[in-house]
Amino acid sequence: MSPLAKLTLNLFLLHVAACSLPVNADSLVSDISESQIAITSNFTGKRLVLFGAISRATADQPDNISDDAIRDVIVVIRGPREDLIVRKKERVAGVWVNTDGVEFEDIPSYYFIASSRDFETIAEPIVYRRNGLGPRNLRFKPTVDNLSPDQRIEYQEAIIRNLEDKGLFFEVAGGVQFLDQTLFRTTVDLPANVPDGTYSTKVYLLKGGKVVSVQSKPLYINKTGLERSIFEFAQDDPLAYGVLAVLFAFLAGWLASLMFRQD
Amino acid sequence: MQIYLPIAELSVNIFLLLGMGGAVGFLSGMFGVGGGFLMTPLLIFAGIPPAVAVATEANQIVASSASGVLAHWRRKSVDFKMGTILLSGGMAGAGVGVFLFRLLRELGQVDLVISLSYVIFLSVVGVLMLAESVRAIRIARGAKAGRRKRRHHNWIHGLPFRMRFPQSKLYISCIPPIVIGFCVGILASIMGVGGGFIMVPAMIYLLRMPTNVVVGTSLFQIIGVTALTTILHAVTNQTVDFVLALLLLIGGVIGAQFGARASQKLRGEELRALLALLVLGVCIRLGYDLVVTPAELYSLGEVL
Repeated sequence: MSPLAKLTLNLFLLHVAACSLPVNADSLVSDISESQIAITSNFTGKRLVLFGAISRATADQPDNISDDAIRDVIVVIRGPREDLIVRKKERVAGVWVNTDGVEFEDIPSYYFIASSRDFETIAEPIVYRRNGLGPRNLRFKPTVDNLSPDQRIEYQEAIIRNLEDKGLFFEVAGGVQFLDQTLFRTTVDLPANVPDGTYSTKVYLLKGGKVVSVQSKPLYINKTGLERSIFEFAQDDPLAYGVLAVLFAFLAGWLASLMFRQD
Repeated sequence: MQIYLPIAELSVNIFLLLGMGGAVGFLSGMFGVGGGFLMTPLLIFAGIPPAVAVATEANQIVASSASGVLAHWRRKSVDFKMGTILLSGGMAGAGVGVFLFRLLRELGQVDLVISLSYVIFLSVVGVLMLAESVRAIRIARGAKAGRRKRRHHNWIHGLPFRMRFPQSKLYISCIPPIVIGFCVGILASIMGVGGGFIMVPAMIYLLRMPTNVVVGTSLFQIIGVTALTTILHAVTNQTVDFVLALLLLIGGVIGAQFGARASQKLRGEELRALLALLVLGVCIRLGYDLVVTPAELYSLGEVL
């Protein structure tokens, strides 16, 4: 079955599921077009589709929010955590030079957030802060503790800018589209330089500006095939890798001299 | 068509890499230069991390020098004794260079040092080449050549530990070749060059080696030094991208053959002047990137 056909079928089934179940609180189901992504030699990035459906409560309202309240969906995808050094450049004798770096821990190597409407209209800032939603509400922990709050913000903004430039951080207001009252979808771009590892996708359902349901699923991105083998070989047995690279080079040079021998 | 480079961790157009290999190979075949000093900056311009560009280029030079040295070996124009002395210095230099490289990476200064080294060396090489080719053009057009001074014995001949080098017909101290080899070893490991553009003049003007063995012997030394550099970079920095090296190599081997053929038909002096201008252009671009205010003052680095 083609991915598109599969997607359509999935959407249909979700729709049926969402409409037929009588529930007493709003809930949601969602899925992603591919949950295993392989980075192969022709990997140039990928566009994923995350889709889902919300079911509206039909019985009494245990969350005390009126049924007419607007439903919103926020989708967050986080890559594996990594440690980074942030370095600031300063001009030394006319040349821009890196000064001492500050190390930060637990920075998501990829971060995507999309919402069904503008972030400000959906909920109060406190809701985003409490749920750690948005790159500015993530906790980037410096390994040194002599940073002033201003410096911390400066460094955090610098990390976000750098990762946005690399296409690894996204904030897409209005990126989640509702197809009708219940079905929604969003597209997620993974660039060619996407780090590999286990990602988490989280879908938040908000009603009247409050989070009423969260669903999370893992997403696996792996380097596969020859590329993975070469990368692992270079990391695990660097001496053999280096020697082999040199032998291959000798061989290539020798072949070239045979092929183009002029006598 | 894009190809994913496993160590550089990015995907690049395969024809861009083949084309770069071919173009630099063409120039190296035409002028008999190694081409590392052009390829490494080109790779950096193409977005390859400088640390990966340097280590990978060392690997590629092994291949291009191997085909060259075999041809010289058949012609018996390699002084193995001198080559081994140069190589012993070169290996020590490569060891020191890779250690420095690792240290600079930890300090976050490796990109800066690579660029600065290139700006210095390319400007010197470019200016010298330009001056030399302009002089050659003027001679070719009938201007009178200035009389060259007779060669004198220089200070090098007063140093101790003299050795006989029968093939080069020399009886000199082994200290200068070791020092020359050492410097070239450091250059190879930090800049990803073979170092022929330093070694060949040094062998001719300092060691006074006969010109017919100079190129073969320098290739012999370069091959040993770049092979060791590749292995040391692979072990300490894991920055040798074999897929990238292979693509550059294919382009380079083919380009070099066409370059060698083209050089027999074309006028050398004007082309050398063009190469000098190209070298200066690359130098200016690298220098400009160092002094212009960057759009982003902060950069991210991995924790080593």
